[in-house]
Amino acid sequence: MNKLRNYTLFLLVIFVAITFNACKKDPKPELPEEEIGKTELTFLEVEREAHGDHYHYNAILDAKPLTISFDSKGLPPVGTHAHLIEGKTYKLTLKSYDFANREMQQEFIEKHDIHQAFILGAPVGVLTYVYADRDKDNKKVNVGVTGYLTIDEHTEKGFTFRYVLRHLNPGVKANITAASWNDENFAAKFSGANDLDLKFELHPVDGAGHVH
Amino acid sequence: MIIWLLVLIQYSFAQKSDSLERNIKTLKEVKVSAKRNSVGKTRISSKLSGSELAESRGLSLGETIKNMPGVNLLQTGGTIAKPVIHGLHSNRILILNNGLRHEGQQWGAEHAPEIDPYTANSIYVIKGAEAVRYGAEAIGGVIVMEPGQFPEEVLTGELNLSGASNGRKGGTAIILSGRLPKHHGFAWRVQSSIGKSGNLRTADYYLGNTGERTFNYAGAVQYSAPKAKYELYHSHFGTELGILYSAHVGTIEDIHARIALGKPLEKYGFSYAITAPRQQVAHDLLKLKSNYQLNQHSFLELVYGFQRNHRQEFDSRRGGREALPITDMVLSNHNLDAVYKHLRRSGLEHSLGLSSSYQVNNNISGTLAVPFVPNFESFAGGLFAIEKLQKGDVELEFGIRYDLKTFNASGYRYNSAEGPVFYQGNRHFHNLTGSLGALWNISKFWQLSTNAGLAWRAPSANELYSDGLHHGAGLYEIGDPDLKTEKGYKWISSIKYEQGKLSINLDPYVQYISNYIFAQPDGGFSQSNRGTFPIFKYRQTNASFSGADLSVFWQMLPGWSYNLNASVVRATDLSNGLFLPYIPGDRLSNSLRWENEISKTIPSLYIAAGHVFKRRQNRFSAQSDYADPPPAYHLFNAQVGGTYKIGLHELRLGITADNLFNTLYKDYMNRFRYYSHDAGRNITLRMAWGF
Repeated sequence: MNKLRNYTLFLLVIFVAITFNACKKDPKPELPEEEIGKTELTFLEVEREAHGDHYHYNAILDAKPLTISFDSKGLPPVGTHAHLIEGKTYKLTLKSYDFANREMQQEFIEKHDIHQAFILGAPVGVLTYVYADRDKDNKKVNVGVTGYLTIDEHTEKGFTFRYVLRHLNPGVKANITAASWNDENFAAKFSGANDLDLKFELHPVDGAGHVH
Repeated sequence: MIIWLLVLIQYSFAQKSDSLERNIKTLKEVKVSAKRNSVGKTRISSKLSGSELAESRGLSLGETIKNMPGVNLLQTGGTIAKPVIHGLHSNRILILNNGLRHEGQQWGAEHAPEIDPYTANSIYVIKGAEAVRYGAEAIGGVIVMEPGQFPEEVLTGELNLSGASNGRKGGTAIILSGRLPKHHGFAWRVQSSIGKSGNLRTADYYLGNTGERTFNYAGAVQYSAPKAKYELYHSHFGTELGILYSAHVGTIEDIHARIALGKPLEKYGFSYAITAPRQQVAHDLLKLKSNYQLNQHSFLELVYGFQRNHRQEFDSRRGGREALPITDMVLSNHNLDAVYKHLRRSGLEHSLGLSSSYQVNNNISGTLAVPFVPNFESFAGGLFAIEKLQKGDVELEFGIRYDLKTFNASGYRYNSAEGPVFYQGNRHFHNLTGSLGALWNISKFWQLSTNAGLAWRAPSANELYSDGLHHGAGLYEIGDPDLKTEKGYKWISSIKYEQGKLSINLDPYVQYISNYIFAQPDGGFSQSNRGTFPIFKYRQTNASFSGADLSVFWQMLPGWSYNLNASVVRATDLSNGLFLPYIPGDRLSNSLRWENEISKTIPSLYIAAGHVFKRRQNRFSAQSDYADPPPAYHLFNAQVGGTYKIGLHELRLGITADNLFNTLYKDYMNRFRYYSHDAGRNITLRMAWGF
């Protein structure tokens, strides 16, 4: 009988331990700061000036920016169709906002060793792109938060312009040059994941204008 | 505090039962066995121990048992290996570690069992549906890891050293055990193992970020009274491991691009460094066990266990957050099991058991990432009865069990339009299971055993409630909170022929699983500013598994032996007429070994050569996977070693060469086969000094 009482006590202690030692906590909402909120791509016309083997880009005072906004799912407003003019050069700038609506594109430049943007979707010979970011020591880095896009030729119809900002795996960036800015095989060649994948319809038109 | 209280209570039991037993002079003393009756004769099982286990020291649990009949591995790169029994893994097999159900985050295919194989002296793989004795989730089988007996000596021990060429791995393990000279009833054991490895290498290239660190320790004390035995055991398992850089992909476009290449373009050298993506896991276990001999024929065993599993996963993150875990979960588990056994002179053995567990999973807040599984608590209780009869050449076993499980979950999902969205769920599951086993010694040479069992499992938290991007897999997973219980009916038999120098074992089986849970593409895509991700939804189907394992051992000439193992699994999604993904292809392995006693100081010297053939898995459905299974492959291995005796001490040395010819290959069961090949040649040197 004594023994039985002891076993019962043993079980009781265990169950008390079970009841009080661990319990489920109320979950707390996590704000996914990882996620990028809305983003913007802005095209601002500049003057391209040949300077030996490279170009200088000079601001145009009364140039009007063309801004394409993307929501947190990376989608532009329905029916977005943008025109850029053949022969002109545009400063292409990325602005991205975090979950709290704070600008955060500078982060990509700070971590330039693992980030690079690719400008995709254009038929061959239509666009030329030059990276124009500088790190904190004012050294040129190929990221693509800022760059210059020149419209070399117009096209009959619009195409899907794609801006992919790649988060590269360690050691990958060292093997990418500025000439790879439009490499359609970026996913195979430059392993990593996309931080941004933005698409809209772009139609390069000739200087005489274009009417739909 | 509570633990100390339990120790005190246990100690007072010991005192009282001692005095009680001393008064019962008339009872014949029957030694209480410290060994749990974990593997019965009617259960179809294989065992790894002794020199076979010694020759795989320094490997993970999965790697240690991968050559046992019916076992395969599900790998995530070279650092994560999960055991697969007859095509089933994760929550469909159960690991019994030191008498306790192992409770880790087993639902994840990339979550390896958090157990140090050095703590086991023998490992059994039971291939039947053994839910009656072991509880839910033992659908495919059970892995039973048992420590060695406590020694009779005052002090004994073993020091293990190992080094491997691939990954430049180094490891050491020490075990000390003994018995107090003046209090012979007190025995103790302490052990620890550490290991460090760097980037693994395929036949052609290094696999970036595939290093690993392990640090484990364990300790046990045992007190034996004449009619009772008490044991306190604690173990800690700790690991940090890197996840292959090349497997870090985002969208389906990335995955297809990498598959087209089949290997990484980026080149890495050797390094011990581990950076994101990586995992850091700690698993602590505390066990309190007591065995009582109530009278000459009745025994009672009580086991209380507490386990705490802390899993942190670090991913490539933006904004310098790579040091901040993207997943941070603590799973706590209390178990209380009681088994009463009564032996009758007629050969009947009755067992009555009660098992209960209380499990809590909490996400540690502050990850700045939406948790993949919710916080949950779950209570499970089970009652079982097993009747065993041994008469002459026949042994029969019949068992029945009732289980109840409650599951209460709550968490937040994040929706960019609405922000955090609270969700919760309450589920109750209950199930009646049964098993029937028989062993018949047909003649001197032939033995037949058969076992039929029903096993079940409740859906896991991720299958019920996940709703988010599965990082690394490139897919968006959506759970189904209404999933039903999965039930598996398995019939396995074993035909054994043993005559002198030849032993043949054939284990055929069939299994039907109703409401088999699996993730299937639903054809939709989840849009995000990082691209599009295919949506996979958890569904249920009815599935069938069948196959056989064959083992042959032939002592051809004195000292020479030949061993053959073959395994075949066939699995079908019956409801949709498709094949199930990630079912191992047919495997054939054989080895030739010469082993002899040279002298009294060299009691064993051996040399062995082996071959493994894995057939291509041709039974696959294209829509269930990103890429077709890789081709068949052959691997060769070799071993040489021996034992040297110095007085009472023993020195064992061994060299093993795996993938001897440095073959470049891919295994279908490696989830990173899309991005890379499997490991190349590996030469391991092992030394064990027993004292």
